[in-house]
Order: sequence, then structure tokens, then C-alpha cells
Amino acid sequence: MLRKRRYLLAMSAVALLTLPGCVSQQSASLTPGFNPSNVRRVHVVRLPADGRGIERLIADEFRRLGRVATIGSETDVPPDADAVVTYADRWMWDITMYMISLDVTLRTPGTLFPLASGRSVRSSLVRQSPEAMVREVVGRLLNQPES
Amino acid sequence: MIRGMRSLAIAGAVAILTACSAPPAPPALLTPPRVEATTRHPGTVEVTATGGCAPCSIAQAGISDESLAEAVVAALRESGTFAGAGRDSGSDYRLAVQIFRVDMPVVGLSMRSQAELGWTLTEQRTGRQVWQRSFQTAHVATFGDSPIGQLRAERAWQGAVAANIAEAVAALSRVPLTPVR
Repeated sequence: MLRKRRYLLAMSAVALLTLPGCVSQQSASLTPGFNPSNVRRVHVVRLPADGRGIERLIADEFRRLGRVATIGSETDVPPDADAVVTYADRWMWDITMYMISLDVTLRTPGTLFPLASGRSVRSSLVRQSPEAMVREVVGRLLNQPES
Repeated sequence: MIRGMRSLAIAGAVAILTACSAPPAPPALLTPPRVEATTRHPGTVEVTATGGCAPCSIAQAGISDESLAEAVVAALRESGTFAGAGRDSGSDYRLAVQIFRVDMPVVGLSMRSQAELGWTLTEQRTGRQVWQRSFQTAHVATFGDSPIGQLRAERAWQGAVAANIAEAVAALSRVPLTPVR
């Protein structure tokens, strides 16, 4: 009976330890030669459909990490911007709405070729606030782990 | 009874652990079925890929650098965009492909995935970058593609990547390249 309980406990532990790992992932892809310290001024392109203000969270995070950040459309990029920031957020419902994934991409002004792209994916059990997910992704893009 | 429980525990642990990582998709699933190439460049090209994963977690699209490079080589050969294409060094050009974003659909009868890949062509002899573009492509996998959600999600991102390769190779065939020799 005791051994049976141990096996059940072991099974539960494995499940608890591995399942959250399956659905939480943070990653970044940087273009060779990209130097985050050269990015001083960014322009965050607001998604027309974004009613949640994610562009403000992203701009605030860049500012917190010492950058100058503006917000606007793709057509009003300031001439002195070092990078244009685009993003894509996806939401799911599980009791309440939560952000399941956030992609943020730093782009070359003009050509819009990506300089660096970062992503955070978090399913319901390991959900985080949009602010925390923005912090995870922007920190990776600028090579500045969460602080 | 204990033996049965032990087998069940091992099977459960294996099932959970293998669900967390998956082998990358073979190149054939990423290769576009058809590429519209307009010009055949006389030079040869070497393909490199970055940004993939191996092994890949369940939250990632299962694309390894190897699989992506092989799929691009297959598309270049099939389309005849260059006189020769492969993974070997010593070619006239180097085509670097970088994965910036591949969406993993989560739920839905129709699943849509979007992919963004960056493409850079460099002349090997001079090191000069002759072409650089990124493409954003999407693909929708329907219930008809697969009734199983996981497979439908795979069809979606595989289709988005294949469409990206097709679009990039077609654009590459239109780039005016001066003969390198």
C-alpha cells in the first residue's frame, strides 16, 4: 500500500514538474552583428486593433531600461529612431482572459528588416501579467535579463 | 499489482516527458510544393539557417536549423534559381536564413500560423551583402487537414514556413545578380 502511494506521488511530482515546463517558453533570435547597446531610441508601432495598451507597456519597459521610446504608426517613425518595434499579442480565455503569447521585434528603420525578435509563451497554469511578459521579452532583446 | 503500478508510472512519466520535447519536422514537410522562379542565376549558393530548435519544446514550432536549410536547398534546386545549391562551403553566394517568428496555434477548428523569416544573400568572394529581406507569411490548416488538433497546428506552421520559402526563393530569382566569375 505504501509503495503504491509512493508511485502515485512520484507520478504526480513528475507531472507537476514537467507540465508547466511544457507550456512556458521564452526565447529570442538576434541577427548576427546586432548590438543592443546601439539601440538608444525606439519607436513602438501601435497595432490598430490593440485596445489593451500593450504598446504603452512596451514603450515603458524600453524607457525603464534607459531608452527613449515613442509610440505611433509605421508612417510617423522619428528620423533619429535607431529601431522600430512591432509586436503581436495573443490572448486566451480560461476563467479569465490572459495573454498566452507575446512577440516583440526590433526592426531596422526604413527596410523594417528584423534586428532581433523575442517571444514569451505562457499557458494558463503559468500565466503572468502582460507587464511581466513584456519585461521578459524586452529584457531578452536588449540582453538585459529581468531586473 | 505493484508491477502494474510501476509500469503505469513509467509509461506516464515517459508520455509526459516526451510530450515536452519533439523531434524537428523533416525537411520534406517544410519544402514548398511549387516555386515560381523567373530567372536562373549562373552562380552557386550555400545555405545556412539559424533560429531553429532541436530538440524543440511543445511551445515551439519544431523546426531545426538543419531541416530548414535542407528545405531551402530543395526549393532552390527544384526551382533552378541558381546553377547549384547545397550546404557545402565554396559556393559563389551564401544565403543565410533566420527564423524570427513562427506562431504555434493553440486551439481552433481552423488554425492559423504566421511566420517571419529573414533572408540575406552575401557574395562569398567579397563578403558584400547583395540582398536582404524578411517575409511574413501565413497558412491556415482546417479540420479537413487533420481532425487532431496537434497535427492541425503542425500543418499550420509547416505551411506558413513553406509559403515563406516559396515567396523568398521567388523574390530571390528576380534579384539582378552580376556574374561573380
